[in-house]
Amino acid sequence: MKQRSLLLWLYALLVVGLPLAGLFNAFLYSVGLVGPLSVGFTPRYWQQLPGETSLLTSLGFSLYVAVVSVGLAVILALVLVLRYQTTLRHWPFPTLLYVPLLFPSLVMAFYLFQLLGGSGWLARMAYQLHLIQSPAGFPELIQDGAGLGILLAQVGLAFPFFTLLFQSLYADARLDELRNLTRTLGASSWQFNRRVAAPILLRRAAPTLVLYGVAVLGAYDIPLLLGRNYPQMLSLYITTKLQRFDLTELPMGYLVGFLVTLVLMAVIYATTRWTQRHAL
Amino acid sequence: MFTMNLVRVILFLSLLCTACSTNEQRDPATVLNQSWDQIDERGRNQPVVLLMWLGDPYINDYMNKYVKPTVKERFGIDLQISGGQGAQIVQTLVAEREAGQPSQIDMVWINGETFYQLRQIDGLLGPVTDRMPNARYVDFSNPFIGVDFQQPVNGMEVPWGNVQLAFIYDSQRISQPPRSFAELPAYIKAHPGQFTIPNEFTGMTVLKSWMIALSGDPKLFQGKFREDVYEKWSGEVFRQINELKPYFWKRGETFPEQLSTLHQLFANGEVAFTFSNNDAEVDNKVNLGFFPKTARAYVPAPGTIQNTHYMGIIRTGQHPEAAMVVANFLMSPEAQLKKMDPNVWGDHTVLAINKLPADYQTKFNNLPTRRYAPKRDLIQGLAFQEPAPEYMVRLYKDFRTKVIENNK
Repeated sequence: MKQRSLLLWLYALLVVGLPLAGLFNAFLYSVGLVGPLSVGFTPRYWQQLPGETSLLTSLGFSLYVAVVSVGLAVILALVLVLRYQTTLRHWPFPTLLYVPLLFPSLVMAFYLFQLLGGSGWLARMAYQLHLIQSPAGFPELIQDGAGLGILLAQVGLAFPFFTLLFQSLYADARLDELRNLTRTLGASSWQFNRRVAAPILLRRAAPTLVLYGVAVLGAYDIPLLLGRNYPQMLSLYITTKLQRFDLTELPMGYLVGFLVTLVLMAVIYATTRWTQRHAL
Repeated sequence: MFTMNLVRVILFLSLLCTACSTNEQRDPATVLNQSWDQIDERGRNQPVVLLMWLGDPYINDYMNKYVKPTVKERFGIDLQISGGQGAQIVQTLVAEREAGQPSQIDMVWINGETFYQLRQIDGLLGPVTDRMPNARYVDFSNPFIGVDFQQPVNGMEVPWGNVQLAFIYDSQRISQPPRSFAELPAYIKAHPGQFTIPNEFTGMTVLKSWMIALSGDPKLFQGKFREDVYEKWSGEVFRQINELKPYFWKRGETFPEQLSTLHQLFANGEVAFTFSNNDAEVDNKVNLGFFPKTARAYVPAPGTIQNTHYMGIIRTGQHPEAAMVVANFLMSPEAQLKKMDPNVWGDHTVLAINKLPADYQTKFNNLPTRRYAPKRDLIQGLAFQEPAPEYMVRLYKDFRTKVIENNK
């Protein structure tokens, strides 16, 4: 009992205590109380926040990337799990789905950079096949305005994970039995998928999907390699402020990091409460 | 029960803190009041933690295969090298100071930007060079060595290498690269999609050089930061770049965030130019097989920025004497000669060759020549001094708001 309690304390210290201490430190930076050039309390950086117009663009772009990439990956995974259930159970699919999970995101980003870049493998092949006039004539699939490269990398990494998740939830919820039951009641396959299977899978997976979305929102290496400098994802926006040479930018970097963390914590809390209340 | 566990956790934490605080912080004045013999004696058989940029295999090899074993063998110093640069160093030192701890870092590889920041937080030990025997071979009256980003060095950092910004192009693809900044706009317009500027340190050095070139008077940028000079000439550069944007790589809608990305684009043939803050880097990259053998470097007229990079000794470090011994070794004719060999690193020496003993003068003069980079004597007349650090800080900010985010 004693051991358990001590373990709990240490766990709380590492998992809650240290991140909260970091958050508190970021807050102190944002009000000028700590930092290399700190001169005491000042609300200046908070007052300057509305003037940071590129922050709003970053926020919008990050939300767009998180929602679209998780959305596309979910649709892909749902289609695979619900339409190709039997195929997915047979070799080599169960193994194949694990393969992309072995790639760190940076490797995936670099692979897409080499594959889809203006001088990448596809551009060279298209040029050799005389489909384009010059390798530079290849359509922009990375470092493009719509963030296609980032979306592709995120979807590529997420959909196998979601497929495996849905597969296990599918078995857990005994959806095959429910499918047979709905059939005997006269429902079509489409009706079962849309009205029964998809809602059950999505509700059960909701906390994981939201957490994954939060991870995409904060991803650094993929947008660094495949994205543009503008619009920039939040992680890059904050890192730029924290790591560049201007020490006077530090408080603003910490302030934005502080606010983003608070908002994300609120989102995670709300989702967890919602799924608990609407558990299936 | 609760109190017991709380006590245990507090005990555990205080043990952790005690473990940290057993480290010793040295009094700077006492350290600096010693003679070199005393420093040398006290520095032996100590560890030295060096923070430096680790992004180049040649530089890493020079440090790991030559410097580390040599200082171990001669002085018993265990040189521990970790990755870190710029603001990261400054933030680490500030965090250590706020925690009331001596620094875990003894020595850092810096240039003028970080020198400026470290001086702002009083992070450097010094003056140190007047204690070091090898400093007698350095000509501190040379403004490219004795002044760092318009700040007098005053012995607060130890010169290590001297470099100049160079343009790199593929001579197989381009027979006539633009020979001056004045020719650059017409060239970019005639060759759309082939040119871009990285949004990082080297790219900002390109912008600074461009700004000085446009002004026609490098003296304007000497001394303290001048708002009127900056506004006028940065405005002119941004106006030109914004006009040229449609002819930039990806129509100027994005710029590489890192120099390594631009190098990659150059190596793949997607752009025709890349840059280097080290005029000799092209030899190193061709030898590595990363750039084609047809890659060449040159300095466009009327010139580019030349600067020196330095070693700083950390004021709150725990082994300042050992760090000074290592810095003195790095400045020695032997270590500088090895470093200047293009097959090793190709970093130009900070030593004044005419001050060296005759045998070393011969050795320096007989080094293997650069094959793809311009000869130093040819570009010395095309060198601008680094302007004050505020120019760089402002260019970073304004390049983002006035060029990158400007989609008009």
